[in-house]
Amino acid sequence: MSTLKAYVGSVRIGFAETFVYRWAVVIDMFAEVVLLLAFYFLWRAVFAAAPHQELQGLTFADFFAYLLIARFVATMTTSSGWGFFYEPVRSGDILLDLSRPLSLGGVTFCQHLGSKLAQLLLVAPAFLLAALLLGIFAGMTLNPWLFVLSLLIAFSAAFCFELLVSISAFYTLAQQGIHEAKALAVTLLSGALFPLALLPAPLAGVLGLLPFAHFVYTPSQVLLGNISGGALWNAMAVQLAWTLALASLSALALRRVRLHYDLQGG
Amino acid sequence: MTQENVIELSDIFKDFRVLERNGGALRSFFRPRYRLVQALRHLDLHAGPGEILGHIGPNGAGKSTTIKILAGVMSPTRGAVRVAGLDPLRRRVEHQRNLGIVIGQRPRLVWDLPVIESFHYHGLIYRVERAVLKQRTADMVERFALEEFITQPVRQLSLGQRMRCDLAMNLLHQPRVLLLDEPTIGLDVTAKKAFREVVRAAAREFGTTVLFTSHDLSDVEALSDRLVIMHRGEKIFDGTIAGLRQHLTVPSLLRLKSDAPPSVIAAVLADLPGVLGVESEVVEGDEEEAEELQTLVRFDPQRSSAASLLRRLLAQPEIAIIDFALQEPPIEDIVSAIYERNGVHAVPA
Repeated sequence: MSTLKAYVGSVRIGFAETFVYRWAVVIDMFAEVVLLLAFYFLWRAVFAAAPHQELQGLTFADFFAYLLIARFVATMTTSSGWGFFYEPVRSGDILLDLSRPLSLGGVTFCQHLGSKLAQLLLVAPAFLLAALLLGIFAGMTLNPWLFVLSLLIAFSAAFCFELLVSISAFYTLAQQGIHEAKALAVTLLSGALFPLALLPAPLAGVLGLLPFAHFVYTPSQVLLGNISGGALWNAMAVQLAWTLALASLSALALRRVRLHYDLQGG
Repeated sequence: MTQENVIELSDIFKDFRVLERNGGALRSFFRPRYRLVQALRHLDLHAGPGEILGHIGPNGAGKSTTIKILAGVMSPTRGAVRVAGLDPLRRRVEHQRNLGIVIGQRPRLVWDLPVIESFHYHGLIYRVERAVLKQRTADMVERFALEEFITQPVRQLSLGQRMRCDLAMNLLHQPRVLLLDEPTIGLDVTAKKAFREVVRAAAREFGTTVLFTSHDLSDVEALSDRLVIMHRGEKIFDGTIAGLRQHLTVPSLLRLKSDAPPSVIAAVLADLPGVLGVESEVVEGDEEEAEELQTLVRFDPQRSSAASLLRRLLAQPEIAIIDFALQEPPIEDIVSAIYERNGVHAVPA
C-alpha cells in the first residue's frame, strides 16, 4: 500500500514537471495545427485527382477524420526525444535513480504516465474543438469505450517499446542514430501520418504484424468503427500480446541493466 | 561493550571488465578484448552507529566503487557486505530505504518543481508518515534556513542552496547510513560550514553512520572521527587524524620574519640536527605594507624543536627576529606523505 503511494507520487511528479512547460506543449500544438492544415490541402488535392475521388474506398472526409484521431493518439502514446535514460546515464545521475528503493521501470512508467496526462489535459480540448468545428464526426458511429481501452493498451505498448530503446543508453551513448531510426519507424509504420489501409494489402498486412501499428492505427480504427466484430477483438488481442511481449522484454532488459552497470563499473 | 556495526565490508574484492580499445575499432567490435581491472582489493571497512568516516584517495582509488557497493547498485566480486544488518543486493529495496545519498553538484531534487514538492515525494518514497514529514520538514527548514526558498523551483536556486536542500531532504527519513560523495564541492565557506554542522547533528541525533568522500581535506578535518585513505583499491590507512599525525613524520614548519636573508639563517642552522631545509617565501603586503620576504624552516619535530631553533637564532647578534610562527603540518602534507610512502604520484581526490 505504501509503495503504491510512492508510485502515485511519481505520476504526480511527471504531471507537474510537464505542466511547468505547458507553453511548450501549447506551442507543439500549434505545430500540429500547421501540419494538419498542410495535410488537409495536400490530401484534398490527392483525393480530388483520384477516380471517384476515393482511395481504397476511403473518401476525403473519412481520411481526414482518421488523421485527426491518429494525430491525437500519436500525441498520447508515442514519444519524441532521446529516451528516458540518456541524460541520467551521461551525467551519472543514474546512480541516484538506481539507489531509490523502488523499481526503475515502475518509476519511469509512472512519471511518463503523469507527463502524458498533463499533455492530455492541455491537448484534448483543442482536438475536440477542431473535430466539432469541422463537423468531422458528423454521421459516424463512434466506439468511445473500446477506444479508451485500446488507447490504454497502445500507451502501455508504446511505453515499453520506448523503454526498451532507452535502455540502449546504458550500452552506448551514441544515441542519435538509434532515436532517429526509432522516430522514423514509429512515425511511418504506426499510421500516425495516414491510414495503413492506403498501402498495398501485403505491405499493410506485414505492418499489422509489427508492434508500431498498435501504437496508433489500431486505437484510431477502433474509435472510428472501421474495424468491428471478430476483426476488432482480433486486433485488440494482437495489441495486448505485443504489450505483454514488449513489457517482458523490457523487464528482462532492465534486470540486465543492473547487472551490466555492475560489471562495467557504471 | 561493543556496538554492532552498521557498515560491514569484509575482505571485499571488485573486478571490472574494461574493453581494450587499442586493437582498432573494427577488430574490437568483432573480437572484443577485455582487461580485468581490480577496483577493490582486500577492503575491510567497519563503522558503528553515529560514526563519521572520511574517505579519501587519488582518482581510481576505489572510493566510488565503495559507495556503489554500499548503495546496493553494485555487487562485490568477492567478500561479504552488510549494511544495517541487510545484504544490499538481496534485499535491495529494504536496504535502500535505510540509505541517504548525496552527490556533490547533483542534487536529487526535481529540477523544475519547488523544493517542497521534492520533499513530499521523498516522504512517499521513504515511507515517512505525513504528520512526521511535516514536522521534520519544519525542523530542517529551521536548521538549514530554507524558509525563503523552499517554495521556489530548484532551478532558480544557487548550488549552495540546492545542496543544502538535498542534504535536508536526505535526512527526512533519518537514514541509518548517509553516503556523501564530494558533497561540499563548489560550495562557499558559509555553505560548507552549515553543511558540516548538519551532518554532525545527524550523526549525533539520529545515530546516522556517515561515509563521505571529499577533495577538501578541511572537510575531513572538520567532520570526521575517522579517516580512511585508499589507493589502487586498497586501504592504506584507517584511523584518527591525530593517529595519522603520529604515524608519520611530517616536517613541521617555522615561519620567521627577520631582516637577515634566508641564506644567513640557513648557515646558522646548518649544523642543528633535524633541520630539513630553509626556504624563502615572498608574502604579499597590503596597501600600506610592501611585500616582504619570510623564511620558512622545515624541521623534523622528532629530532629537533622550534625552541632549540629559536634559541640558536636569537643568540646571533647579526640576526634580528621580528616575528615567528610555528605551523603544524597541514593535513595536505600528511596525506601527500602517506601517498609518497605508498608510491602514489597523483593529486589526492
